Amino acid sequence: MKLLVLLLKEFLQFFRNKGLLIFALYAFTLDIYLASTGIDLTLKRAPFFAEDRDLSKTSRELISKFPPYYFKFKGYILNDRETQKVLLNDEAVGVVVIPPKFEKRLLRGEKVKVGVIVNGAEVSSSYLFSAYATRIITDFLTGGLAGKLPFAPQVRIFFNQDASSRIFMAYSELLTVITLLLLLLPASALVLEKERGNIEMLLISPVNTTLFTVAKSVSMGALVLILTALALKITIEKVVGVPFKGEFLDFLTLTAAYAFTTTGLSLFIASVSENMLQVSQLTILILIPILYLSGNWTPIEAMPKAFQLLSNLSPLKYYIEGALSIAIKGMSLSQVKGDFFKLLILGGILFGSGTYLIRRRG
Amino acid sequence: MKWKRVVGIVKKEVKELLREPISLLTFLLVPISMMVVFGYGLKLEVKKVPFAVLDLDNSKLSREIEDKFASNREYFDLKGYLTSYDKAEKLLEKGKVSLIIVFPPNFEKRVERGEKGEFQALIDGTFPYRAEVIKSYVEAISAREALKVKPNFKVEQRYWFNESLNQDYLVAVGTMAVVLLISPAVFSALLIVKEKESGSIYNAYSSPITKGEFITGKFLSGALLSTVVFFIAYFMTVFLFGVSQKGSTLLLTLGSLIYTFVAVSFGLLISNFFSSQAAAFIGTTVLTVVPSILYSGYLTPVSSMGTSGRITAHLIPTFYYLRFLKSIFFKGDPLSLIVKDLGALTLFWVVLFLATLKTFKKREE
Repeated sequence: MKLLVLLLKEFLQFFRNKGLLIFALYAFTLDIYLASTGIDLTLKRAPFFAEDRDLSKTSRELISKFPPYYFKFKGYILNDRETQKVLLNDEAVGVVVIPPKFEKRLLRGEKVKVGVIVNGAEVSSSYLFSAYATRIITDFLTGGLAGKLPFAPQVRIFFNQDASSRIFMAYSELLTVITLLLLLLPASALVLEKERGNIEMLLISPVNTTLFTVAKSVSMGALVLILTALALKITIEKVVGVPFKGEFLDFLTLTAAYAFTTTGLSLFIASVSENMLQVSQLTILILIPILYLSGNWTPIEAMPKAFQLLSNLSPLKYYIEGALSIAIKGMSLSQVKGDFFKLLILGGILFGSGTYLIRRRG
Repeated sequence: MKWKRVVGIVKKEVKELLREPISLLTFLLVPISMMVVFGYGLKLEVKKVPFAVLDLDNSKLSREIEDKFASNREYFDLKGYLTSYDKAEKLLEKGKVSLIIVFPPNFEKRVERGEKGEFQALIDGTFPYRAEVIKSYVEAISAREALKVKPNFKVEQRYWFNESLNQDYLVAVGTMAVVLLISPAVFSALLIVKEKESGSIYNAYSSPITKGEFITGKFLSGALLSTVVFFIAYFMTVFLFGVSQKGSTLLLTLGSLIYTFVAVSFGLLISNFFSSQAAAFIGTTVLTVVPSILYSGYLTPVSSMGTSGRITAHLIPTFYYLRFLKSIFFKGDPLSLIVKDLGALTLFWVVLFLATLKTFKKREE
């Protein structure tokens, strides 16, 4: 009964805080929408120029081979100076350089060289640009030969046939937002009581600190779950139009386990912090490594060894593995139970020590 | 404007931060840890791709091709051999490997007969960028093996600014741009609202201090402390990550300070709008972290974004600052090329500052 009253209090407080409500809703709607529709990590419409010193039929044909899906041809330029200029101003991801007498030499069977100059200042697109461009040029120059290569791989991309960034970005942003709110909300709810001095009243009331902490955690966790459900059903499925392959309830159950773990961390933040400035700085301080170590951006196998080991401590790693498997691969909760239990174990430790610390300091 | 009062506010804010060790520590640790984690960590390079092989042909040719993948230790990491197609799909589902190479029966025979031999590369598409890169690796290795004759042409790849495609420098500079927005903005976001929440704002309401003095004082405290953040981020970029700088340090400092002023003003604006610190913090975080990382050109080129993405990018100061930073660090551009970005940043600052001033009311609403 006491718990119910406390829960009600937390909900009321949250909903009365208009600012918090607005931003929580923003995070689960527009923020996810912007991230998933605006950002594409794969190569799309990459602008490029051709420095064509040959200007022959063959050289023009080569340029026409660059498919508009990946590339966007912006025009011809005359010399190295202009090449430098378009790259300097980030107008192009790359420039294809065709030497003079390209066609003649090709016809005569002499050796030709084609240059691909890539704007190294583009983190995600520079590699793919040079790889794709090289392949297109090779295909073109081997002409008849390309079809006659003795063998070639037939590539099939699973779970996301066209390697669309949308699906990944939508879910990855959702998981990030969930993490941010779960870290912040319980801690700020607790520290606010400290700042206002309510904690003194609490100490002399029949409610014990543990119950109080649990109420904060449960109510904030439940809120995030509700927002997650809304984001999945409305933002992701309806507005962004990304399919959800697995079972809705499986996803939420896994999210609940993650909420348990992350709330534990949040309690830890609350126990050390005296005011909201500290809560906010500590939240960022914990959020950044968790995000990085999750393997969401850098593949874990490409990290330095020490980071690979540390990544086992990032709850987001297990959550991402499990949640993406459910949402994108259509697996069931029982198939990702490994991740689920790891979250619970990690959560038990964090939540336990978090509550202990708060009680001791309270 | 009485500067004594402005200075009073600055003194108070600085003291408040210095008084509490945890506050000071976390304030300094945020930029440091962000620089370290992202600067060292954020690499999109795809390496050591875990893969497995399902060889239903078991011929000399298939083993030769397998060996080309397995021996390329930097990019591939052979996890084992499979015996059935079902297991292959399971393994991909579980995410244990990202790539499975399948040789169909009679692969070698078909190649010998002069028919086209096809083997399959099954790739996990959960992370689309990784999938595309793995695809390009597989195709390149296969083509090199298949083209036994020395080709009569050469495709020369060159990276501009960054000959080795060592992304460390770029990432370090990009991280600096992100840190210098997030850290000052989040700090400043609490500067006004904390007084509202604790009630001490009534001191300001009832004292002779003017609106302008109060906001200027808050702004200067944020700006002063953020200058420390700038020096931390800058020194880490230059000394820890070893980015060499082609342009002028004076210009870099000037641009960076204007940019941190933008961040501080943005934080203050948010701080002024809300009555709870939690709301101000979440708002600032959501509005700075995602846009500055995703829309600034840090990870993806703005030139290849869709129209909505490009418009969003131009509304975000990090876009201009990152362009400015790249100019100074990598290109050493003349002032004429940079002036546009500096102008845009100054405009952001002025608009945000005036908006804060305009919306701040010296009384309860």
